[in-house]
Amino acid sequence: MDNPISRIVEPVARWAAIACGWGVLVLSVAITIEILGRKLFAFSFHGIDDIGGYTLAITATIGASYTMAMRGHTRVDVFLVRMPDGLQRLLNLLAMLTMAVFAVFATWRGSVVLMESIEFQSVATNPLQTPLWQPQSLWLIGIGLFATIAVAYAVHAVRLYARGSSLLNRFYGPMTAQDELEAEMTARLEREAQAESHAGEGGTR
Amino acid sequence: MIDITIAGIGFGLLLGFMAIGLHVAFVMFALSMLGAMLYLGWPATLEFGTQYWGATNNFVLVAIPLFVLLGELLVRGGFTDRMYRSLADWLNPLPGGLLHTNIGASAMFAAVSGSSVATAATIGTVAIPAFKGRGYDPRLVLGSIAAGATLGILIPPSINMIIYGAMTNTSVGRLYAAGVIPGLLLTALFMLIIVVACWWKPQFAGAVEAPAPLGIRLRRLVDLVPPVIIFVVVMGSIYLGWATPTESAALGVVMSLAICAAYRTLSLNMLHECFVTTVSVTAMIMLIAASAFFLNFVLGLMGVPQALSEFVAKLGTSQGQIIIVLTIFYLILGCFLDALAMMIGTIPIVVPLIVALKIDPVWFGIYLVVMAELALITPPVGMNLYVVQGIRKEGLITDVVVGTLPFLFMMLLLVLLLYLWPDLALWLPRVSFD
Repeated sequence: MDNPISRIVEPVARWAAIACGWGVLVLSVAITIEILGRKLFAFSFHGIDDIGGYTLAITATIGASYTMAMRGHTRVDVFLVRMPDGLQRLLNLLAMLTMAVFAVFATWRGSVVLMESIEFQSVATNPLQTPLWQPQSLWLIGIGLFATIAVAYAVHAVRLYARGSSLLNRFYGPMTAQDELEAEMTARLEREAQAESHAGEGGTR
Repeated sequence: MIDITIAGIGFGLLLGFMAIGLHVAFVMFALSMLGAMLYLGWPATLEFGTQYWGATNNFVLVAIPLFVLLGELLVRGGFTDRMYRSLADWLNPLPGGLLHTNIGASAMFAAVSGSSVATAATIGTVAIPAFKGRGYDPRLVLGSIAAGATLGILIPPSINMIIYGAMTNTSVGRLYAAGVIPGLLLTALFMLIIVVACWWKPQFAGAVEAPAPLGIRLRRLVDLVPPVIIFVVVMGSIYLGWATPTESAALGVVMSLAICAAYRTLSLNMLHECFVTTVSVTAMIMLIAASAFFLNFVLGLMGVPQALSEFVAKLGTSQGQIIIVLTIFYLILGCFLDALAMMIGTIPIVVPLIVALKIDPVWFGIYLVVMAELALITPPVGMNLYVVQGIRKEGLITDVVVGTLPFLFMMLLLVLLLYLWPDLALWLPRVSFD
């Protein structure tokens, strides 16, 4: 049985992540054009550095929500997996609760950053003079999404804990290296199957 | 001024909370909050928002998603098996045969990839099937892949160097230059130990195979072109001052797109897979980095760096002693912590120490990367071990662990050589940038 909460949040976070990926790709192309333009034709988009920074800020927070949904944020699992089941349940619950507190606090402080930018009409000190509320809004949406998922997981974990359900460790235990690899390998096999059905010439094996 | 024992207790708590499986990013955040509340007052904790924005809106760190994306594209680009074959043409005559190709191919892939795990996954997928039925010692095969792949973060570009540079205000370009000679030296040491092992026990190596005709081998050299071009463009543009390290990463992404297109592996599905992994890996690193920046900020206000340097000055330890202590400390820590988390988590405390001792921060960056490489192959938490075992899907992971041992000694030897001749790392940045 799959985690019912993940089933809801994962597709949303995945599409948000893909959108960020496009952002990163477009940024690479823009920077490449900028370098060529600067060196060969003496023209330049001013402020591409700042746009790069904003892309990273937004990717980092929106990505944090996807990584949260996939339980991908780094945890040390060596000791945990050797502990008795009951203790593991308690510690996994604690890990989800603390992450939720962290994400909610980040949302609160992030929203203050945005509010202040709006109030003082802060603009970036670049030739574009980007009003900071623009990138910061998307950045904050990312944190909010991250917090929403973290809280949903924490609430679910509390309920599972209260019910004494054994699913808690399965749903909210750390993603072990083995799990990650299995996920990666499944994806790889699917890819290969796809590539074979296309019967392209490049992929030898 | 803060008492040194408080810093010690804080660090102990950091490790303790991590050990019970709380998220690494949260643990660093919680320790910063605790320090801020106890020593600076509540308002300091409110700075988290500004610090978070500052850490994520950072042009140096933009190189992280760019290099992860570049690596993902290359992993799926479909040129590594041909690159492997072409390298094998030339490296096979060495005693130890195809084993050398694992090292050579890792070094070559490392020169275009900033991540060791990506290197292990790519080279492992190509190399493990290549050894089927050739009679090599399986442990040495697996060990050479897992250890060879650690070169990914030493030979530039390197995600670890980017983060170190951003956190310590060290030039990433200099760090890249400093990684080249130690990276090539470690490649040579890895090959040397294979020669020694196969000379000592000839049964480790497989049967000698006749090389392909020279004409074919020469023609196959064309398969080495894609990684060479990317390396030349990425590093060359930094060296010539055409691009910053971040901008050069963008050039690399565009070039690898072109290469994927040339090898006909580019598709929308493939791109989206690359994107999801890229964003996820970036976010994982950035959340830890954001907490670490906040920890750095709080520790700075608390005066911990000054306290640590005064403490070290009072102890009168020499550079050599502190490096020995740190090496033991990182070896132990690396067994239990993820390599990157280990690096990020210890920078706020360790770097002020080494600065106080007048150790060059560029040199220390290279040293720290080598310690992170060791962390990637020391059990129980050594990501490269799991990656290689995961591709192999048979036998015990112990085989991989045993196989990496000879290479592990070579890495420690490199640390010693770096200590004895710091110019191994520092000469190239000096002649390139001064």
